[in-house]
Amino acid sequence: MHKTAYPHRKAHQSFTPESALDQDLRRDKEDIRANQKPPDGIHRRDFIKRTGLALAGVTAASTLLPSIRRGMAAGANPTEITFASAKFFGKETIAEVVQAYNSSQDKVRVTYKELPPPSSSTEVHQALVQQLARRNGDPDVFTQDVIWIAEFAAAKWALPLDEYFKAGTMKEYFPGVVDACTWQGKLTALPWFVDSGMLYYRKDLLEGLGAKAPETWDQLIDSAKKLTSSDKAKFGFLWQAKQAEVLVCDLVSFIGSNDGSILKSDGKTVSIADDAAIEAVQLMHDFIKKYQISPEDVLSWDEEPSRRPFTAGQAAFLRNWSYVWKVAQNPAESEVVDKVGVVPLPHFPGKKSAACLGGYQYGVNASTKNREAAVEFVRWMSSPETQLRFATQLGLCPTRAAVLDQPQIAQEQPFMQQLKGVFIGAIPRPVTPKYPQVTLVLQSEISRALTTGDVKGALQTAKEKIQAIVKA
Amino acid sequence: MAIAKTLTREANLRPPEIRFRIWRPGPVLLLVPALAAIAAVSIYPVILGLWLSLRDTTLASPEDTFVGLANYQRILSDSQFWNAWAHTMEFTTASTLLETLIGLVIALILTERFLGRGIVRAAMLVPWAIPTVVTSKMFGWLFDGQNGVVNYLLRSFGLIQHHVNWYGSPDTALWTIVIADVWKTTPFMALLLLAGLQTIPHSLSEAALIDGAGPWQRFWCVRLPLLAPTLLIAAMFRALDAFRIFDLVYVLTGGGPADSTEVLSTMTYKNLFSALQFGYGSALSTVMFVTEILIALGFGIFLLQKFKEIGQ
Amino acid sequence: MSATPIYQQKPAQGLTFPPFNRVVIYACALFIACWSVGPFLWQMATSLQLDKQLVSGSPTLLPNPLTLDHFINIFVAKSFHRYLLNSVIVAGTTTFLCLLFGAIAAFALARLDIRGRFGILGFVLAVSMFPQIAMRYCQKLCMRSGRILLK
Repeated sequence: MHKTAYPHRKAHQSFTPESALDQDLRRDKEDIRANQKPPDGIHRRDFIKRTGLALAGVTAASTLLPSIRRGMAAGANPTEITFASAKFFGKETIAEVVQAYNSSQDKVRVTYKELPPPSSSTEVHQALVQQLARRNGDPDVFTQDVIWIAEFAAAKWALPLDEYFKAGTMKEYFPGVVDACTWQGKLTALPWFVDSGMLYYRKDLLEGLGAKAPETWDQLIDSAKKLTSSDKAKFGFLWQAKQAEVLVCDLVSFIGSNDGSILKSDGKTVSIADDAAIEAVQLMHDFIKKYQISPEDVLSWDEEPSRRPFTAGQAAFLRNWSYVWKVAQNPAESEVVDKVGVVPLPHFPGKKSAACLGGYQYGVNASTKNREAAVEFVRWMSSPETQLRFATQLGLCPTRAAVLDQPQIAQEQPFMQQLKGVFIGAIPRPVTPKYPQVTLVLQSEISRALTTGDVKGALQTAKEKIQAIVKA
Repeated sequence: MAIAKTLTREANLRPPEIRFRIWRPGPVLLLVPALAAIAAVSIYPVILGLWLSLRDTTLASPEDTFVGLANYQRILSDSQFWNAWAHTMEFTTASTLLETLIGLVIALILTERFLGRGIVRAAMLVPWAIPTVVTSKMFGWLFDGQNGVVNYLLRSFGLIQHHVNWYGSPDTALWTIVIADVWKTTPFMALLLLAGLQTIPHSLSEAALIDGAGPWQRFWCVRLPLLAPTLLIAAMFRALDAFRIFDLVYVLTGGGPADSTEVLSTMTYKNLFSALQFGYGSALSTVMFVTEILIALGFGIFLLQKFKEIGQ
Repeated sequence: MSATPIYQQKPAQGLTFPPFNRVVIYACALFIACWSVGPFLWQMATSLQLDKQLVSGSPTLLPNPLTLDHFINIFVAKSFHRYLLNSVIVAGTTTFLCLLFGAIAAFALARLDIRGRFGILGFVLAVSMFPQIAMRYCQKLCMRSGRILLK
């Protein structure tokens, strides 16, 4: 029986005599361990006790606090709903408009959730999809780009609004917009504002030529060539061909101006490889390579890079959205103040002008728990007074024909009234719930067609891929 | 000191079987915060990604069926995938090679003592300090076809006749991105290689000088072999990061004219977040993951060989 | 051959280079500095220019007239300082936490006898190789389900 000289060894361990040095080291270690004082005078156990109590207190408070707040709020009764919208601003912000609604009545209180601005439309789309896919009623009201209406309707995230807004009410809006807000016969969005592409041109340069604003593409090519060859303008016609959503907008305008289409109205027949479309895309390619009135840089330009040379006075024609007007009249940013005119885009001979429809519309969450309050709010936001406010304060063009004719708009935004014809003739991009996939295919193939010149091949590939997507 | 000695002795006094049979609680506890953080942020998402890749989940529709390896078959036959894969490999190779070479040259210059070395070292780090998104926009403006300063300078020096459409043309767009990435990340390589160079004892180069070696021989035969492990590790990290390049490409060209700058990350992003195809997108990310592991293994084996050589 | 034996000579500063090489080194150093800082300086010059001068065709490093409009725009109209503060908070917190957890784990892996050290290290590196972009959606799902659990 070994004595406790070696208490740390178990019985079965082999016995090797511990040297004197080791014995000393071991005893030193044991002494130090026995005498170790915790630093700073706080014993470890006390510290743990105090922290534990603090944590417990905080947890209790955080669980009780919301119920206390709810109890206090229960005294007032307004229905609380949330409104998520992409960020717009002008002289006012959307938050201020929502605030005005909250102060004008006390049955509904709206909390405004701001999403990224529409220039980051992919991020807005993601944020909306992730919230809506949870189907928990949040947000109650949201705003959706025109191209997402079919997708949200087919996924049953947007509430059909036919029982709240009858046909009579809907007649007050532009028919094109109402069409865009309908999916399979059901109204799933309420119109908010529209935007569409249009042709900006230099009034002074065309007067010098003795020509008027072009109505057909041939006239535009003619004027542009004359201006570039006489060095009056550096570029003829600027548009956007970057491999991004804006390319599809331009594509729709060009194809529509030849009475063609990408997807027929049944949503299943793909018509992008038809002759009308081939001719239109060939024209797009020829602008750059054959007639050379558009620089090669348009292949990497979206809205802003194409706008800059125009407002710097270097281009004769520009296809862009309505925001360019304000920028062109601002002396700090533009060299062509008062020299710019606007007309609908040109068309092929014998056909009609086509502009690509854009703009955000309201939607009500299908899983919302406060249906009446949400509809009330949307009705107010879409009312003539609010649309007038959006037009004058944020520059968003109204979707009600009557509002567009009001004298206030003539005063503050005369440009909008000029565009009535443009907006009425706007056509939508392909209406299908699979639009996000379709647009990626279109961007890729059209960009290929424009860079390589193989228009027929690229459009045929596009047709096959889109057919595979919409049939699935 | 005494305690440390005692602890080690104590560990060595225990029979070998006990030392490795029990995981002592102390050291494992030290690992727990790091592993817990990784588990929370990475493990479950990775497993979820792998699981999703075997289904055809899309967010927009309620369908969600198990499809086995159908997503992977679709990847193998998708020409867009191979296009993106080719661009990613081109980009990774070009960018890693250029950055290693240029980084090496910069590190060699910065080991020499000259007036203003500190300022140059600080200036060298500026590109790395700028966020990638800002770098993309900055290079977008520098290489602008019409108003970019690069075109202006090249024309002033008579090197080109007309403005070059840098990122609007499928031929030059990928190179614009390579240049932007080289500018941004060379400081990282230069820094690592500089640190590596400074661990090489000066006496070795002096001994070589005494033996009559010229500067190139001193570099090639003395310093470079000793720098090799650092060089390979830095190159490996850089290659793995370059393979995953996303924000530079997405912000500058969005996939580029005619898909000429489409890389695997942007393609995965578009499938996951624009087209909302979570099944296919997750399969794409899994393929990326596997390729990266293969690249890392390749480098790792090469490194182990180098270590063995140096050890001998 | 110098008179003093080699072990008494002062060690060469850098390594002795003939004057031509010094010129090369200074030239390279200057090039490195310009290459690194140039684009950033250009961007700063652009930020001080009026918008319409950007397309004037004659780029210059010192714009005339100078304007602080853009800086006023981002700080007054768009509250850029809030985003800067957010970045500082995120960067500071992640750096601190990474250093804390990483240093502790690195000490444990390097100095203490843990079974399967290289396996754990390899595993940590492997997990970091999964594409970040793809993990975003899965991480959002996890955070969402975590929030539901905590409610």
